[in-house]
Amino acid sequence: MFQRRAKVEFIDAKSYPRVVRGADAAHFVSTLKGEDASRRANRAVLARTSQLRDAVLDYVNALEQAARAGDDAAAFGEAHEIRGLAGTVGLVAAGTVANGLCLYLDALAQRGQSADRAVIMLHVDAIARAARAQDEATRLGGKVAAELASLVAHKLGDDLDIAAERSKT
Amino acid sequence: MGAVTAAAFDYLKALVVEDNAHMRALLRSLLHALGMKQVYECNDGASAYNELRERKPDFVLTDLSMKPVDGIEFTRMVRTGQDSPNPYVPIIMITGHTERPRVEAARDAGVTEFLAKPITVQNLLLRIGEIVDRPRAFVRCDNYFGPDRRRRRDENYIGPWRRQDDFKDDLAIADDLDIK
Repeated sequence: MFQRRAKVEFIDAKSYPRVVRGADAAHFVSTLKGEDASRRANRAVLARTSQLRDAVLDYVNALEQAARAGDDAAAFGEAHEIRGLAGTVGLVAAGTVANGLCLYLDALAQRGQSADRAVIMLHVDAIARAARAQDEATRLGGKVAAELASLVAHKLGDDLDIAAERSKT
Repeated sequence: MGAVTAAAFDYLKALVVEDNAHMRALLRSLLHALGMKQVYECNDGASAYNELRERKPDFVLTDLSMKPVDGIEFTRMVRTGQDSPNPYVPIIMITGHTERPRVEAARDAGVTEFLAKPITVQNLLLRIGEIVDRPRAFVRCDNYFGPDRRRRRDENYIGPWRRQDDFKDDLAIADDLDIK
């Protein structure tokens, strides 16, 4: 509830310097929207794809180590790097599952609860398989990602139910 | 690329703030591929703030999670720091965090645009286009300075109106505005 007078100053976009000035702005934007810009940018991504996939595999190795050691904070850190990079270089399922693992670990950390080892290991295994797969079907494992997301939703729901039951007793 | 636009890409200065060296290199390559020659890089918010003072970039691409100073704190420093060299500089936050509280915290620090990881060429070009084509109005109030967080007006909005500007057609109400 606000008890005092609202003081809000609006500053029009015209009153501070533009990123690109005058006539250049329209040309700039139309160039950005053009096929040539997108082709050149995609070429830049392609040139780095192999190197970035290797980097993702390094993160996957580190994730497996962290998970085996039961270090959830380190596992979160590695999964976070994977979710950031993997999708950009075509490792979509690895990125999606890594994001699911991050959301799971983050939700539990915020509740002050500990993670289920089996859930972590299922995610880590799926991430590793998807990232290392040579065939596209495995690499794109959307079904696996969806099933793991559903498992996490159930687990988080179960954990909430257990916490609610405990609070009653 | 036409001569006018080539010049625009030429003189634009971008600052990339990202602690992951691979992502930083990728962003640099992407910006260079677009023709931007002046791309500066930092791996955390503190060094980025110094670079901002030194290089005076036209826009910033920053990650959220970095140590010791993350993207949210960096944005807050840029927007409200006493010695901020450019509180209006567009800040595009690149984040893999899909957790709502973090995104809201970044928005409330004054981020201009969000770019979700994994980044795609299409989304990056869209966000850069947005900051050039549709610069945001800024808002200054007791607890916020930054781009207007309301992007669009909903004609069907039926909730309470809280801003003086919401009543700009009725100055009498605006003068008496004392929200409780």
